[in-house]
Amino acid sequence: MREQKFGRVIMTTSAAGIYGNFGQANYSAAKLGAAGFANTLAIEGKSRNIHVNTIAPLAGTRMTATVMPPELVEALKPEYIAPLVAYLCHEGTDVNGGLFEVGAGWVSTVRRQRTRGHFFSLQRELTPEDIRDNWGSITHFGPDSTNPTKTQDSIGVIMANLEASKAIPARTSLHSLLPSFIVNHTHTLISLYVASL
Amino acid sequence: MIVTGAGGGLGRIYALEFARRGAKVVVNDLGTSTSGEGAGSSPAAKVVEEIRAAGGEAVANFDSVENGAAIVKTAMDTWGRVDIVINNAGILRDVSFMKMTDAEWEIVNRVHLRGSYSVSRAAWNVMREQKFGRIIMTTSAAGIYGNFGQANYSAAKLGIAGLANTLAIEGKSRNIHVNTIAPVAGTRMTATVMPPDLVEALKPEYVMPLVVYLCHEGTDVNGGLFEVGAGWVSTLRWERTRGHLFPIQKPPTPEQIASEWPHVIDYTDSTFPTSAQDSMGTIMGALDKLKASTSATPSATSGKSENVDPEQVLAHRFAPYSSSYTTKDVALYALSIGAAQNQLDDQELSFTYENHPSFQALPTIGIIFPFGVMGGVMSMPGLSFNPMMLLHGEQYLEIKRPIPTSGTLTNSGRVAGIYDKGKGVVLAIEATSTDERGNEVLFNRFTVFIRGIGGYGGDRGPAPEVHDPPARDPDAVHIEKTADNQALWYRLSSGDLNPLHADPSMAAIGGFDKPILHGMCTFGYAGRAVLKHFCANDPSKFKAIGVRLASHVFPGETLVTEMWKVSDTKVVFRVKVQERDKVVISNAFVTIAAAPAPAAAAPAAAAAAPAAPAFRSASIFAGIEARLKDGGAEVVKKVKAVYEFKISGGPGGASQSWTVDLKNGSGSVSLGSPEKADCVIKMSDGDLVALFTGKLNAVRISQSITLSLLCLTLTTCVRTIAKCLYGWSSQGHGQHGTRHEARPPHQASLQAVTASYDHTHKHNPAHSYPTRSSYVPHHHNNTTLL
Repeated sequence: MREQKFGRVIMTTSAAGIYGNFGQANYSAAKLGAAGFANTLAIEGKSRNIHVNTIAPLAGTRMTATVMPPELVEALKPEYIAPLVAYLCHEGTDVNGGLFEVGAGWVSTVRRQRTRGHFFSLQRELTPEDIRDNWGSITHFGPDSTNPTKTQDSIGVIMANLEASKAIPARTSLHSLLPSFIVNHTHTLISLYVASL
Repeated sequence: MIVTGAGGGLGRIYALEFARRGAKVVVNDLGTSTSGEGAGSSPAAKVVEEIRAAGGEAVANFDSVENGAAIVKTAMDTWGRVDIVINNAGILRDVSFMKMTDAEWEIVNRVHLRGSYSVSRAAWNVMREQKFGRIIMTTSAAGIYGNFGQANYSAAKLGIAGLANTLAIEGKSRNIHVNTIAPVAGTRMTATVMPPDLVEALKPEYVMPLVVYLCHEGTDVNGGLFEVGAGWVSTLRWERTRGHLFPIQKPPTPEQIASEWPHVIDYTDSTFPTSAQDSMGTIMGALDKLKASTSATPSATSGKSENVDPEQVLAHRFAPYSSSYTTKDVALYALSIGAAQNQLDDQELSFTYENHPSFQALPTIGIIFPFGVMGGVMSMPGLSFNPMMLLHGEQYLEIKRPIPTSGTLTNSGRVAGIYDKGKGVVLAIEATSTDERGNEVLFNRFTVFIRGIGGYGGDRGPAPEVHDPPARDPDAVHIEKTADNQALWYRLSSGDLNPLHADPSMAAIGGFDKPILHGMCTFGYAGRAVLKHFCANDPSKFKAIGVRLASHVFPGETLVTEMWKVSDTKVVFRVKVQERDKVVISNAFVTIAAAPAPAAAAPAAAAAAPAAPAFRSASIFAGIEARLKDGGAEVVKKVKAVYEFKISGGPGGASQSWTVDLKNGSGSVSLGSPEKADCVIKMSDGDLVALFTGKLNAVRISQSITLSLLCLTLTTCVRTIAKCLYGWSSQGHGQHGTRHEARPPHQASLQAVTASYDHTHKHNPAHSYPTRSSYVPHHHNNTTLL
């Protein structure tokens, strides 16, 4: 495909891998592994017009027949999966690195959403108790949540925290506390303001 | 407990900290020597020595993680238990896929995926019998998002996350929690792919605390995925588009998929599925549609389809029916749309207490009487669809005469139009409601959208009327949190018993994570907001209301109604959900009775409002001041500092200073500089407002903020900051707050601002301080604070 400068690869994963499913530890590991594999291949193939997409089909096959009611299996025909696969493999389709749930006439796509998270001071020891005390801020999916798409997005967030440390000259150890002071302490004042309303 | 790959990097730091906290640690690392502890030459043995030197208990193990049974055996032989497994061992064989060898693929997958499996599997049954276990899986951003040159690694790493997904489900009932971390840490492994100064900053010490927290017996977190490193901790979830539902009679063609692609990838009404069953729920919705449509009459004529026969639909007449209601229904309706949260507010009470001297019906109740007509849509000849595909799109209500607080109304409905929108069908139903004497009291137009049955070549219908808000800040903003069980109240008061609003399994079939609020309940909240701010809570001034229901609301969310008075008789508004910053009602307006000339009120307003354009941040300080009046002493106890805010960039470039004294008495806020500030914060007017209203991340603007600490000894300063950060930061998380903001319209005096109040936010310990009624004065020159 690299030599042809053209390729379309479909990986098949499963909702069992994406979300987990009782009794399918082996299957969910392998299936999400396939999705992880696709994530990197999509990046490596892009410059040579090799597109790698991943589908999570809900189809009635031998494999799924053992865990689904027969009526459901009957309705989940492979014929409803094939058109998406055909579309993704078309030479005119520029979709790459996508993850799709598909079945019974339904097609949707899935991505990661990440909390803004909590920024702790870089100049101070971080303890498990700090994590516990800020759990709400770590796990709250507020309007500042993001949808990262590449590894560099994670590094970027961390770099911002590092840059913030450098933003104010560290004349004393006290001053070096200030960036996280600004970040976290303004919450105190903000909460005062909000509580007043 | 077992830590794999504990000879160095993250694993070593985990082992040391857990041992320091009293855990007995199997320090696993292949190392160079298998001669046993104390060999000195192997990394694992060195870590064991380190732990023992510090008074901890540890034993070394040199087996490969592929031999998990041997590692677990070491723990069982030594201590007879395994409570915690941290799957940390890993290797890298970075190479582009173009050049990757089988060996490079195999070794990475064996060590990471098979290794995590093997150790977890060996420990699993021990944990099940103990009825306790904590397992940490280690994945990577490279797996989650992909990374050039790491195809082997990303496959193995995301495989581990998939394994964790299922183990979290299987272990839950036995108190075995499985969480996955994606650390960004500078170790031998990552040093090869990152710049050295970044590696230096990414110490394992910043990852360890999360792992210790997740492994604590008191932690109930399970099945989570966390990115962590360099002082940053965040979590991830899946977000899924609503996607597109194709007619199920025959499979779609690839061309149809291509033409619907924008809908497939549109995250507008996205959901956050957490289980494989969530996917099945969505499919079940499609199946129901299959059942509904297979019974439809086929038809070949153009301009109609097997599901839609416009002529038949338009010819349909709904049978008129009567709605009798009592004062109890009127009062219950008011409660179900959030009225009278403050029972002591006389105006609010007038909507809910039948013995109140001016007991009155809220105008939006006008939609519940003819709502039964909508039921007739389900069984209308010429129209075949799955009820789950029906969305209430728009609502128009005109109040022609005051709505009696009890009585009987007769409702007659007709189909005003049916339009083919391609994706679906728009059906407009008009209904009139008349009183016992035949006087028309209400006129309603329900506009519903039925997904999936459009494209029959019918009339596309007229262009919609546009009621866009003007480009300026709203004249009034009303913020109110709905109750967590709001939908349960509304269904009883309105008679709209659709299980979508009560039954989680039905909500799942509809594609929602949980039951959603009735669109007409949100409509009621918005109607109340306009009534309060522009009609002085007098229903006789409220003539008509029209809305587009743009998106759903979950019970418990906070509704922000922004209102603009665009003419003497028209208020345009929109409603957002604060938590998701999502517009849920758009293209909305209320027609009000023209106000009499504001004769008496004007001087009062002029006296109260500053003559010059005010700083936007003034209202922030007013807010803080109001808060301090109640429980300020508590705040002072915790903070003990005087802040000076030097605000620049005010109106005309003016500057001013504010003092926030959180050091003396019960705290105070004043305009002007303090004699002595502990902390001076210089920032612009706009930045301050943005920061306090959660629009701005302090990290991003830290360069435009100058902050200096004066007059305190270093020790005091550190203590103060520590208190603020670690005593307070756990409490302060402003954006979660619920608020109810009352803002007077331009004509009204400040005295017209009624008491506003907080709703207790039960879930959030952030608001442990008491909530109360408070007045929030806003200056005349209103600005948006949201």
